[in-house]
Amino acid sequence: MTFAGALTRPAMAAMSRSPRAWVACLAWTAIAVASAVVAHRDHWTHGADLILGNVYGALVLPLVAYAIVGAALEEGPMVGAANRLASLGAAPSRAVAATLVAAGIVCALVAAAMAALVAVLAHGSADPPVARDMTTSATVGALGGLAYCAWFGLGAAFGRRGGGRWLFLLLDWAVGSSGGTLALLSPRGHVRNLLGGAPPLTLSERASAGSLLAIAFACLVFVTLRARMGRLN
Amino acid sequence: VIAVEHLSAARKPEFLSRLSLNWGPGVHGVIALPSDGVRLLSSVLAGLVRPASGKVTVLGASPSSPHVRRCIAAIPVDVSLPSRLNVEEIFRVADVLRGDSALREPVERLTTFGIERLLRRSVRSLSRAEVRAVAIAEALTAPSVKVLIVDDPLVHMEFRVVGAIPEALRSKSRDGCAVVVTTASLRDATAFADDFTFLRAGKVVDEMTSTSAASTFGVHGEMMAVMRNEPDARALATALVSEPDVQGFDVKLSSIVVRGNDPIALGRALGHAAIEANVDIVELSATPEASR
Repeated sequence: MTFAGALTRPAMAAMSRSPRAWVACLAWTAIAVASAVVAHRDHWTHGADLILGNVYGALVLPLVAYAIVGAALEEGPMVGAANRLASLGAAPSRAVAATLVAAGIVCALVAAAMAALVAVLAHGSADPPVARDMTTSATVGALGGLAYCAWFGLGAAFGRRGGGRWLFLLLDWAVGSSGGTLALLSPRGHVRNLLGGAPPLTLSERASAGSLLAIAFACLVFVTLRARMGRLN
Repeated sequence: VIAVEHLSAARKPEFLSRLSLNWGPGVHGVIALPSDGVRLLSSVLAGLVRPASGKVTVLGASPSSPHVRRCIAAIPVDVSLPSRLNVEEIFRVADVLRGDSALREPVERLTTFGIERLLRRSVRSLSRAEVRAVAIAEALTAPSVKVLIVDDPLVHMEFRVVGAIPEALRSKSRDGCAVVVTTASLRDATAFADDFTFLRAGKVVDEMTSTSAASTFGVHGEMMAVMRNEPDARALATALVSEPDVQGFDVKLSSIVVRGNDPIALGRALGHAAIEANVDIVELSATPEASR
């Protein structure tokens, strides 16, 4: 086992062995798939566009990321994840970073696979060619998954029991849907822009993709620094 | 090994005020209630909470720096371990994180404390006492651990492990480890500490060695009971925990040395404990006053 493997092992085990997270992911996947099947059956011309933007990006992606981050943190606060690894000799900042990176990888992979599946199943006659649409959707899903993971990770750094994660979910809904300046700060507006919806402040798709990466990086750095400064609890 | 200069820290509802301490290898007892800031002191020494002011140096550097952190084991009363791993995985992960290679197998390390049956159990399925037992077994058997901080080592601890703890802590300190034991019980502290620091409302109010503590608090007698075998000795140790006249005890293989104020009361306590544990004492003898 490598050092990085040892650091990420508890989070990976927590995600893969958590029935609650599996049930949540499967339930949200079922909703996305059912919507895509309905769009395909009723011959929606922009089926993939509509389902990806209004069901996958708006509802399924954030909630799947929320469930995965919750599983990685054992449904507790970020300080709990840091302390669990610190008990075994890890520095809290490394423990936090490793937990978020592990959760980020899983979120990105799951979100990309779901986006690709929805793009294929809901594909309509006016949508871009299916292969290209699938690749683009998977990339957007992966970026969104990464950003949401770090976003909820930051949320879990607040509150005695990690209640900030729930608050950040509401904040993303409230702020990200507005389309104003504040929408730039949460992942929702950027994911919507990349999935063909209205951009926040007329931002280009390339800028939104960069913003999602920037949100992921900023949240990761902020949480890691808080852990390094002993300010997680 | 541990140097604290004018440390002040706060974490509601605890605080520490201008604390200065200097500890080398050995077992150091901190006698205080949780509300006196003792849990906060443990967290600061473990590098989990940054002090508001003052300086904390562990092994020559900040306790939160990764190369020092791997040598620190902190076991609070409510210690938490990754709950989805099993005990064997816990040991494997800890070995890598601490940089310990070619260690004994986890099962051997658990056998030292008589808890090898926990090897395949998921941490999630363990009781609080068993989790603490696993954590302390890992810390005490990891050679890289040079600073061990344990809150109330005899509280919420698996009964098979309780009897072995005093000797295991002293053995670890003889290997050059600084062991800091925090407890509200002077009786527990006298069972293993070489010196005592009394903390009240976040401040050090007194410091003394075990010899002066023994004379101050009246630890005057020692008795040794030899049992038929090791399990009998452990069972007797468990029963001794609830005996008020016993101020401390050590278990070594099949014998137990008990310490207390009055040799007659000690003999009576051993008799009670033997009946309660349903074990036979093969030999009972008085030994000279404890000398460490």
